[in-house]
Amino acid sequence: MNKRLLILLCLTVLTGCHRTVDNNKVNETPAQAKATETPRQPDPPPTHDEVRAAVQRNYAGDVTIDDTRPIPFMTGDFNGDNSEDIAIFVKPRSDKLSDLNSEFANWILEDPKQVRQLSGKVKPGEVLLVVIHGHEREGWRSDLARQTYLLKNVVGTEFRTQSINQLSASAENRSLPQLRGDVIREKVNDSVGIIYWTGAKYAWHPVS
Amino acid sequence: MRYLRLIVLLLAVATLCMLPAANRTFQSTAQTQMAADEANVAKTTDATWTSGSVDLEGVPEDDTTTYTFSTKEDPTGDALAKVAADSCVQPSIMEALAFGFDGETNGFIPQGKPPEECVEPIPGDFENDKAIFEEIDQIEDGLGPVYNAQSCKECHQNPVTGAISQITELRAGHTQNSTFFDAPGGSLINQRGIPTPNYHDPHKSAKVQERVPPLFTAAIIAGGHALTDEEPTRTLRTSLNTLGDGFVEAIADGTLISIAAQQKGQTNQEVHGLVINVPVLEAGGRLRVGRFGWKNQHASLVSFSGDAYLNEIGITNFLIHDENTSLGRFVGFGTPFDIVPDNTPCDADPTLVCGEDTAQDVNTFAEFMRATQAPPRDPDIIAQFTADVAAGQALFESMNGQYSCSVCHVPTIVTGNRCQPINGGTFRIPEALARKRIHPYGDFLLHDVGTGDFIVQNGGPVTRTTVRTPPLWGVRTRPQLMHDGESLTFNEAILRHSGEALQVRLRYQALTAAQKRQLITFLESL
Repeated sequence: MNKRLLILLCLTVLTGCHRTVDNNKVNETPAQAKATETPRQPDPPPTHDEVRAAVQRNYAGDVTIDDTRPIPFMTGDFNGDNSEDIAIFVKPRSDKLSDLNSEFANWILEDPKQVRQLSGKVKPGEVLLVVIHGHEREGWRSDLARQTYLLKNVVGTEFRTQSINQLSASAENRSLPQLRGDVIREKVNDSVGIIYWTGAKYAWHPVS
Repeated sequence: MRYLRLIVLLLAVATLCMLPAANRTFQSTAQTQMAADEANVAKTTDATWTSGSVDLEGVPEDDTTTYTFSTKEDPTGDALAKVAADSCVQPSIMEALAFGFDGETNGFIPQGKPPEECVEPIPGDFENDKAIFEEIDQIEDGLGPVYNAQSCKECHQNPVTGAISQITELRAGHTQNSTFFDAPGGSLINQRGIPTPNYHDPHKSAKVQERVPPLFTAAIIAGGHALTDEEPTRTLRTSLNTLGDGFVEAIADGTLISIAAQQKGQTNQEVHGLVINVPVLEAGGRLRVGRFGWKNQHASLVSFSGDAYLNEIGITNFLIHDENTSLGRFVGFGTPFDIVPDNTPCDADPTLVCGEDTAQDVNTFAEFMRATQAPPRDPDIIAQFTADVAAGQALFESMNGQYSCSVCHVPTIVTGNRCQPINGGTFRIPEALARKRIHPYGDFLLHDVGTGDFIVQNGGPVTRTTVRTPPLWGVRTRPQLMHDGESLTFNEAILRHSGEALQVRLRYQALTAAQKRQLITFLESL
């Protein structure tokens, strides 16, 4: 009888411990909290045609995918709305610069390294990073995925998507700004950093 | 005996395991107890309006006559005529005064004359009330210990007293299991603090200064302990306009409720303003539909003033007696950081505790705001750019033959009847504010347009991803747009809209450059 009681007590204590740790292991960001409500199913990898269609839908021939890069695009939930987004390297078409720099453009042109300043204009031949926000389940493939950011001065090397969960669990987490979604990790001019969504813009944060 | 030792050991392990949770729980409980006021505390239950939960104030919840989504037609106000049968003579429905940024009364109180230099202003007329609204509070008046500004005018001045400013306030907390928790002491992180005495020398320091935690030296104030947990849910919020807020206060609850219902019907449920009930502090917490603040955390101007006097300037008042904390650490009277007691009776009524606001300036602030004219449009822009403004206005109301911006940025609302009791029965709508057509270009409802700040106040968890539709009257005076001020052009601000506003943003994106210019020209005229 005593043994049974002891086993029961052990189980109770261990369960209690487990729950306590679970409840406190992560300080969720808003995006994580939203994501936990209905976990996002992994989307199939993008095909070149799908990416081209997404670029065409948003930029109507003003830019072309920069196919010279080993990885010309990457996906993730960058703005933390539980819908898959895509980041794509593009080059401006030289005859479309005025469209790209228009004050009435359908995208927000910005420099993540200088988010508080007015960004400069897109220059001929400049490689840019396009981020297209996804819409609900279909993500960036949706016809309604038309919220897009055109980022200057952040095209370097060693690009990859780093998930917010991965970052939250890493030792780097302490020194990071508030993250709402996945980030784009890269190396620019020998400096490694992340491009992250602030809730209003994409910003650069050096990590080394 | 061996079992007993094992049991003790297991219990000890369990206690250690639970400590971090207990610590967070303790902080949460403590912050709830120490919170200075309800609107600054994350409520754990939703305050969503339900039928019968508030007085509709003379307008039925299915009304369609006290507002319009159209920029071309005026609402008839028929619903008001049906209930105005008491002895109070009703004025005819007319335009609210909005002549200019002239600093003139709307008739609620007389204009008066500016008080002479070195003479204490006496409340009761517009000029004197304005002088009190502009007064700079000092430490001996009760300023702080933590605060954001020394005067109402610091945040509400552009281009005249009562309007907007570039000042933003800072809020922070954290989210666990989809629930928002305030930073210690409340989500508001005050950005200023008064100088504080050093313990071992005659000089002063800045010990009460708040910041987004961690704050490893928090134990420097008695009762504090190191704040090591981060508060990663953060936002900036721009100062709001208060011009014309007397008219906004005079909108019947029923009107706001019916706007929300009509939005659903007009947009196939895409747009669905959230109505929340919040306590009216001067009415003993009776509920009314929220309409003031980025989270609609207040329903009356007296409550709003009492909240702001404490949370922005640090002055306790007849509505809120508890001094704000510095990140949960008590720094009020009785500590070395506050020299003004919070239990002083009011000058005018010794039976009432007024704290640091013995003259009840809170009432004067409310009176001043009630007397302000609505933000005017620019007649010269309208005259000089007539065609573009008109075309832009048409697009604002309808794009591609479908609903547009005006479904949330509601162009015209009619205020309630004269003598109608509002604010839990503590105020009756006066003639100057009654049955007035106003053009706020806002619905005073909460929406999720993809820009929510994830902060919860007294609306409960349902409000986490929402912000109030900013009324666009006077928007031409605001160079930083959206709740966080992060959008610097109208085009960027529109492109940030998503969620409930997705369809309208898509329609905007489909416009030609010329049409976009027209729409923005219209916005520049507001």
